[in-house]
Amino acid sequence: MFKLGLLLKIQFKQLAASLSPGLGSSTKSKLSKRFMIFLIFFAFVTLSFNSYMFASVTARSLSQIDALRLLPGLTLASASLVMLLTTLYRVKGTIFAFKDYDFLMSLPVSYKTIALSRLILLYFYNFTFSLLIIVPASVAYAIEAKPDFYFYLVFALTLFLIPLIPISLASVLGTLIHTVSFAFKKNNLVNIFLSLSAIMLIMGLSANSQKIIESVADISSEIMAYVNKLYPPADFYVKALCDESLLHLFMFSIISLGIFFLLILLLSKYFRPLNSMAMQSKEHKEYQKTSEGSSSPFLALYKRELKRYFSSSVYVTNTAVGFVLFIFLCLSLIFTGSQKLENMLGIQGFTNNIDRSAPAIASLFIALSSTTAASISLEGKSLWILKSLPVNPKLILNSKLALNLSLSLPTVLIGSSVFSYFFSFNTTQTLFMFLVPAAYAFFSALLGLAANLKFPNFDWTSEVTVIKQSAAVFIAVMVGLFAAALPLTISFLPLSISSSLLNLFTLLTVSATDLALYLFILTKGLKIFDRL
Amino acid sequence: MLKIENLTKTYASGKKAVDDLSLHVKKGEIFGFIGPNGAGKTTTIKSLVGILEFDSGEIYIDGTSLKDDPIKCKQNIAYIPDNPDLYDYLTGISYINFVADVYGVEKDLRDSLTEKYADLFELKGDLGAPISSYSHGMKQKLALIAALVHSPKLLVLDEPFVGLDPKSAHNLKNLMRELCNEGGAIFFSSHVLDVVEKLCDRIAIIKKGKLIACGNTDELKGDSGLEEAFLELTEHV
Repeated sequence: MFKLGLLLKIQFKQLAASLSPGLGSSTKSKLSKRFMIFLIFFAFVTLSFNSYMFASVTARSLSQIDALRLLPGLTLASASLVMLLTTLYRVKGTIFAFKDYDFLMSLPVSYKTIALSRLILLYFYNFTFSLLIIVPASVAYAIEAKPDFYFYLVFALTLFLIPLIPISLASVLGTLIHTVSFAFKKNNLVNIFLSLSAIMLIMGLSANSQKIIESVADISSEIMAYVNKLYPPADFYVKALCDESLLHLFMFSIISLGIFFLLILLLSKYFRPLNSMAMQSKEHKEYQKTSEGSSSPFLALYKRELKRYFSSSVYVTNTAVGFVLFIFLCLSLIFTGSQKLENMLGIQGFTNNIDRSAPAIASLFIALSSTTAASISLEGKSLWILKSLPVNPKLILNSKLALNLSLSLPTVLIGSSVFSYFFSFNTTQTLFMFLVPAAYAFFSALLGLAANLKFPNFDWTSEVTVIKQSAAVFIAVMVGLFAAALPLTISFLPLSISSSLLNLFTLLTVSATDLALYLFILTKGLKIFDRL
Repeated sequence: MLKIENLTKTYASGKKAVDDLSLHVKKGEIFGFIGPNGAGKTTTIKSLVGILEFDSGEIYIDGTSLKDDPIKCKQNIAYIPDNPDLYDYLTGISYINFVADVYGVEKDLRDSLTEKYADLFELKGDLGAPISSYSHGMKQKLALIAALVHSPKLLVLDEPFVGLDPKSAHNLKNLMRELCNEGGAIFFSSHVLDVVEKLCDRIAIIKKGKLIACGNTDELKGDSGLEEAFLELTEHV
């Protein structure tokens, strides 16, 4: 236990350092540290507030049809699915293929202890998430249901158990994906495909659970049956919480702890073989000279960015989800019609003013995906190569922008063509359908790059740190989301403003912001890059 | 070939890593740069290859100011750090091609130089493998090949012999002399004083960011050898 404590201490120190990278004692560093603390606090408050508001509205609706007891089960199922999804990303880098593996394995500590310390790290991430999502939602439930003391007691106990099943499932699924993909020559591409498929599947299930919450007019028992089918432990959880059933509390606890204990056993046994497999390199044939042509410096930098991008399944799955979802949306539009689209987006009747909202809808998916927000940090300890090359740093930054645009602009081209054709847009509408999302494509690429220049982190031990939990990515996603959601919201307001004027205003505003961001990168950004 | 004038570099923490350092490396010279740990060797090296910004002073590469035209200066330099963290996601040959593309090396010349140096360092068969599968020594060899493929005038090496097998280390020493005979120059840091003593034409010793000695190897080592001279100077100056 003492050694486990020491391992955990060093892990949490690493985690804290990754959240405030390279910050010293100078005034500027202190300011950056304060800003990071503010960002984390802001993210926590936003998440909790949204969870509370959503649960509060749902609780009132469910209360009206006497189906309030559905809320804890729905909260548990939704939160568990999100935990499953986010943990899936973390399996590689936390359980295996983490950077200090060699050092830890050389210490006189059992494999089981090391494996357990890695699982506790995963548990910590998910428990924090539980606190931020489930607690506010349960407060909303408690305000409406006014339960007795027993509810609070059981709730406090189960709160610690909730992350165990999603962590276990994600660990097994994530390990399977990596094991299967390792059997292929192009294992990274297979890994990316399998990870994206798993994420799409989980998101599909989440979208259905969202639909259930909205269909409050349905018969509650049917909804509950669906939730239980979706996530069986939810039944025990609801009965333990709402019916004061000690038997079901026992069942939920036993299942959660049992599955997690099984995972510990499995991981203790396969921890070393799994990591050995993840680290070993495939047999390579003797190198034969090929007739690879030479490229211009920009093309060489761009090709390097492309290879870097597709070498990391975590990078691709985190940044391409918006693009994949948009293409998926367009395909569903072609094959199932606009009704399905309405269901997926959860906005009934939005196709009535599609010419107003379509460019903003497309922009929302595009603005969510920024490869540039982690692109500087991902240079890590290899940054010396770029800095010692005889190229203008502008070319380096442009190659990073080019990668983002070569993913987002073709997505806009495909998606906007489908939308324009499917809804028979006229020339002006078609023009906006292409130009507005394209302006957002530039916006998300430029914003991500500017944010990463301001908040770089080169001291990471797992790339997940900079891809998922860095200040730059948080800023790029949140600002991008807000910037795209604003015109979308306006498009639904009953304002006497023509769709062309609204889209023109959006286009001009976003284009002007793009220009300002690019000017910032070419002036201050280049100076920052020189100082890195 | 390399002229450093009053170079000063202070880190954000307030630590003065390099303090008013001046030195001159001539064409055809192998210049050794030695000092205790934390003396400012790597900071100086990173400053002169354009990685680190410096507070004051000037650095000239073949007569061109690094501040005024960093790209022209870098075009003439090849730098290999003490721990070559290369792009793990590229294969060895992709990395060489990437560097050659950026330096604008003609395809035929690139191919022939790659073959020459890959044969010399016995890395040819592994060039198709991802860098992630390379050992430390193999990465060091790859960094050397990529550095030599663009025929630099000034080779800047930070602890170049760490991780190299004896044969490769021997070949590198010969290559260094060859490059200097062709009019180039080498600036390198090392803690292996025997190698520095045998290889270098001139040596500079740095301590706490300040240059404490600089001169011909024979003058500096005197009768007692470089190790004795180094210990004497770093302890008493």
